[in-house]
Amino acid sequence: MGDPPMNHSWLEALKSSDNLPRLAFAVYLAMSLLVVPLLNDGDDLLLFSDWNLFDFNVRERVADFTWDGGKTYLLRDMNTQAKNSGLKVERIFKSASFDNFKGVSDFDRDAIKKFCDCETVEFRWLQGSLNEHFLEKRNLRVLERETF
Amino acid sequence: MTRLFHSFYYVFLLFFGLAATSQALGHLDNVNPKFVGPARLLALFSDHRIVAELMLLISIGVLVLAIFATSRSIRVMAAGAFSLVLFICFSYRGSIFHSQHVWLVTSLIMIFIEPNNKLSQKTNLKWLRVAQVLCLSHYFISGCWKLISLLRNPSVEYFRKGVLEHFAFAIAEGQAQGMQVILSLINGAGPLVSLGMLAVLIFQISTIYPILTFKHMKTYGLLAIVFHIVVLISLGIFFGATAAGVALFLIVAESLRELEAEGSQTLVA
Repeated sequence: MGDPPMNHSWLEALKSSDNLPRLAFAVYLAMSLLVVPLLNDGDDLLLFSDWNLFDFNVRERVADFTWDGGKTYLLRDMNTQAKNSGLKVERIFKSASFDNFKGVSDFDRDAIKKFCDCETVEFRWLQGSLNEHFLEKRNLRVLERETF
Repeated sequence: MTRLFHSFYYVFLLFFGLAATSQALGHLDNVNPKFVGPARLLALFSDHRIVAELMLLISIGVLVLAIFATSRSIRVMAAGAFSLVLFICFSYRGSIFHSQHVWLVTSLIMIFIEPNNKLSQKTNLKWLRVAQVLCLSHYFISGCWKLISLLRNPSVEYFRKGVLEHFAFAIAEGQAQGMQVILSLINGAGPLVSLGMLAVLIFQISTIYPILTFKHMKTYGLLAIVFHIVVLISLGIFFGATAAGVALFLIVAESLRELEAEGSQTLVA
């Protein structure tokens, strides 16, 4: 009498384990807290995202567009009007602040110019938090600027 | 009961697949230079819209079949179609919309939940638990990141600023239309807003309890829905797909499973 035949694979063994839900959680946790942030630069990796968008970090710089030397900012002061006029405000904000100015497409740059009805628009990186710019509306120091 | 649950699930999956595609069509005029993965396929075609509409039609066909199908291969196709829609559409943004993660993950898990067996049957229950645990994981991981940022900067002032960043972010995204009440709250009741965020943090971290013990799933489902409603009222942002997924897996599935168990006990009696 020998040992019973091994007729199930490691996958079958895993599926039959009562710890499968906890194991799935451990893998998900490791991917989101370690692998995606450390090895994939925070970009989504198939099913996995890092979810750090929902942290409490205070940003050190903020991106916005102006056409009158900083008196009016597109995202800070005009976002409701811009959204109502059909401008993709959410997309522009994410492209500008996550992908930098180069992430804002020609299509959106033209749409911004059309919205403000102006010849040139200035993209600015300001030194400060989102709170200081959008809620407290402070005059923040300009770190970088680019005109289009 | 399990068939009923499958029907519910695939109707919702179809709806969110359509919503994702519709949302992505709005992004096609703005190809992100950072786009990744399968979106490169679309770049090969000159008319992106035609390809997207074709994909949409295929997805609808597969998902409608899935409603009536009990075969695993059909469910694999449904999950594949939904994943493809999400990966292609949202790879334009460089990421998949957070709200759709619950549906992406569960579409794969549903492959292993057999419609012909009870939800309380051992294998089905195991996979149901995997789905529930992964739904709750998103809250726990978000809570972990909040905790990590607080541990890096342990001060009340930093916490207050961190809370305000969320409101500023909502304004920056163009959610300012419903912000008037909140802005007055921030000015007049800052501590209340901070306490609210503290409650959110406690809720998110405490999801580790049902994740590890599989207890109080319905309670945490309800808490998660309340959390999403509060976020909608306060920030103008609604994670509708996530809330629907949580309701389906933590409340509907759990209730169906309990009903099955009660039915079995009555039969035995």
